Amino acid sequence: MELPNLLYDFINWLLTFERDALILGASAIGIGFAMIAGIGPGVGQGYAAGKAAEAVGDNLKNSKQITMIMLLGAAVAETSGILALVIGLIMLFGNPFITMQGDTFIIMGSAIGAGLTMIAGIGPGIGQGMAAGKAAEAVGRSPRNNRHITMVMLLGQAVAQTSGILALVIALILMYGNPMVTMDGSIYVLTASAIGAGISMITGIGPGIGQGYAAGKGAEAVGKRPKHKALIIRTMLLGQAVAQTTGIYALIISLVLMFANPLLALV
Amino acid sequence: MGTEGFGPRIVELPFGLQVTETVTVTWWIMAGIILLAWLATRNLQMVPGKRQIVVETIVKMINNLTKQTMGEKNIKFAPYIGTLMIFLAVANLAGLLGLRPPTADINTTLALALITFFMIHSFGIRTKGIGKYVKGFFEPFFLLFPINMLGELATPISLSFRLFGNIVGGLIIMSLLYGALGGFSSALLSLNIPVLAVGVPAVFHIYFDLFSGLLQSFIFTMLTMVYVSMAMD
Repeated sequence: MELPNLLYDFINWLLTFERDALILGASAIGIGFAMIAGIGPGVGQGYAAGKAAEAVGDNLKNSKQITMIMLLGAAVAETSGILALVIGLIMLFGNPFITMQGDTFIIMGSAIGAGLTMIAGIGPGIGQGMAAGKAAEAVGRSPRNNRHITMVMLLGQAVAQTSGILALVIALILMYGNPMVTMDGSIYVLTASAIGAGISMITGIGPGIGQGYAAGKGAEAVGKRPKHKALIIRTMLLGQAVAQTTGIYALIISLVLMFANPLLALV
Repeated sequence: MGTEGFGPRIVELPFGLQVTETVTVTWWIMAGIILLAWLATRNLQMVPGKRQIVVETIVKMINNLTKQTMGEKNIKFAPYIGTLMIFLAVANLAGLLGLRPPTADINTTLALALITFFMIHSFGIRTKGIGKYVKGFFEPFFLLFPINMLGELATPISLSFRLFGNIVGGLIIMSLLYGALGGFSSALLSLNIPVLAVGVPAVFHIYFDLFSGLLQSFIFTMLTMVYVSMAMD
């Protein structure tokens, strides 16, 4: 039985530090995790730029419109990176955990969990970039339908942002409305639940990429047949709602872990 | 959300009333829009003048957008859609005037999203009938009822937090930027006047206020239109 002793020693070692130092250290780890979200916008915007370059090569005279829609789509794809940056900056310059009342370990878990949730931003970043790339390609082919393509791309991208937004909601709950710090029950279960609530939201990567793919295909379809726009948007949104399902499972698990944890009754 | 840190300030009013900055800025915006609407629709002519042409163009644009997105038969939604779009655009751009955007408060965005939520369901019931509406929750097969239910509840949450997250994100980054620029100017030039804060933030204002603000107001309105018209058929 070496492992439990190791854990016990580790916790005892942690307890030799000051409360503030522990919380700030956990916040630092959380900030680092949050910024991993930057993978998404990086990949997505690169894809958009590549598709746009390809489109310009094929249709030289439409290069201006292609560049415009590529920049517009890439700017939207930046959103999840910015949201992660905001969470990081809040923890750096206005850390809410340091003034929180309650157990040190649970607050540490919440700080790490809040950072972990933001990793979900990878999905929306990649997905929205794919939508932007497909839209740039479509505009290159039929610049006449520029307005319709832009509208469908923006709508689809907005829906693809959903899982990033849900992750932000969980991060904000952990930071400003944390129910766990004052809860009665095993400290270790609550600390692990705070981290688990964060890990669960990483699921958002999937819906983000999938919905972004749908948005790109929608933009492509509208570019070909703008008169079917209403039906295309409807089908796209229906499919995107289905693609959101696993993200909603994750949200439920996070909320259960935070507000109605069944594991607490077992200890 | 927490009123400490980046939350709205509390404003003291006479008679011991306390409201947040969000409410007072919303009052200013309401007064501004009402005044503009009154000025714009005064003294309308059959042969429009310059002012009337501008107003008519805006109204026609909103009508066309509603018709295209919701269908010809749903043109009766145009007044609400237009109001929503104009209010959100002005509210999101309030940051340019140095005011705190009311949409940087979850209470504002959630209230607007709840209006959309009740519109989706009440118009859904009214056009489809209660039986067909309830049946919609059990499609494609009955086991999916809980998922459909949660999907419906997620709509107002994602709608409100999409707007709130974008605006409050911009607000936080801008306030940190102003603070940092002020700090730099006193550290580098040993001046108490934040000279570096002139000009530099303009680029960030273009992205966070103009681009992000106008885009998010458009997206909120578009999603409202699409969801309501989808629920109606």
